[in-house]
Amino acid sequence: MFGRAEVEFAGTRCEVHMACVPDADIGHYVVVHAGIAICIVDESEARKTIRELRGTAGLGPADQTGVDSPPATVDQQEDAS
Amino acid sequence: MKYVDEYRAPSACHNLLAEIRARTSRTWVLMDVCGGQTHGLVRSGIEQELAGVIELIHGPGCPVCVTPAAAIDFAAHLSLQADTMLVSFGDMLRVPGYRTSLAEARRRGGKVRIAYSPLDAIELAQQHPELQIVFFAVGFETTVPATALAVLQAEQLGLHNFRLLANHVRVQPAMEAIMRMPDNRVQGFLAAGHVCTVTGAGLHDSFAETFAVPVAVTGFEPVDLLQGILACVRQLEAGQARVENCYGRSVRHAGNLSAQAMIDRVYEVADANWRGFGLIPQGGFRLRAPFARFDAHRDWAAQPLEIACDHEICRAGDVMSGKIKPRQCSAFGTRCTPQTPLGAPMVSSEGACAAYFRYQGAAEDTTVTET
Repeated sequence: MFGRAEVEFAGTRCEVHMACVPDADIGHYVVVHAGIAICIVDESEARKTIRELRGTAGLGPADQTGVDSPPATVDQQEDAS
Repeated sequence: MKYVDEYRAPSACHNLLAEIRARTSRTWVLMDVCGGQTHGLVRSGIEQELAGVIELIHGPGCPVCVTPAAAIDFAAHLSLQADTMLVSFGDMLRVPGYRTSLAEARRRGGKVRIAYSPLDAIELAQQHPELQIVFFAVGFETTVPATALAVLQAEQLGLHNFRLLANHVRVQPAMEAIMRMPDNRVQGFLAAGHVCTVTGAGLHDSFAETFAVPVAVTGFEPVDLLQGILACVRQLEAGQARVENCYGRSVRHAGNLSAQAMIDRVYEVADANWRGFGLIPQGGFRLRAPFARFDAHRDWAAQPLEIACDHEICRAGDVMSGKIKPRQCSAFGTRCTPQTPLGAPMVSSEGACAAYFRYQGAAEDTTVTET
């Protein structure tokens, strides 16, 4: 219930509570809010959207920042809502 | 950053903007209900880029802004008690209550501590057994799992000096309140992506059907926001009204079941006072009876009904219900600025007034007219 993991956010690492993502594993991307992970990023969905953008909405080679970079350890994204 | 940078790609944005313009036969009115999206729309220039094509208005998506002014006064009062430390998200400090703010209370010697997470307040309670640690718990469903986890941890640790001043709110009852307003103009919603990460996109299924309004579950990057707008436009042009998940990398239809179970264990749905709106039926959460000992509200005798703003020229309530945009308030950028705020939306980093002031400046935009 109160397990924590080290999550890297743009080069900075911090401890995050993982109670809401019991299936998270090393290498997963997670969305973090107020100190707890609230979901594991669905990478297949993310890649599908990126492919669609390349195909129909014109995501060109110059815009592909990070798409092919190797997976990091668990990553962190934040918002405040 | 991976899965962020791709959604800021300029060429993808330009093509999505072109598609939105090409598919739009009239100026549709869309509302976002998340402060992060409000700021994203204004910061990225999407709001200005689509002026005259899509009217983007901003709903009550800033959790700090809808927190009752009386709750802020009470939190400030608690911080001034000799045996109490008030712990809060940083956004809340400068938001004015009716009588004071947490920042003012701190200047007067109140013990106010800023925390990033409610779990930080648990550590403070362990470090300071001589103090009552009260966490000022505000926020939508996105934040509720974190405060629920804090309560469960306090119970497990047997802490007797930790309490919550819980003012959590639920986003959909506010959307319903907006749709029921006689002068409502909203024709489609960009639903809050991280609220739906917890609740699931399915949260809005019956709402979209009942009110015959398209709901696009939307993320926060420019491409995400444009995809949400495009989804609404496609539905409106086709006469459809359903929930469309445009944030699939984070949102599932059923949401995060672990997070929902944690919320349900600690909280129950309750009517709630919203600043700028008043009482919204089932508009919030309260701690369940087994956790009543963690409830700082039990020391609070009477909770007055909210009014939009205690300053007569401030139109925060009209801004948060989408009736006007920030620049249409006569105080915007003159009497009301981030340095001298009259209402909560000018203070918070998620407030609509603060977004317009920060990204578009204080100068009057003559293209905006009140409707």
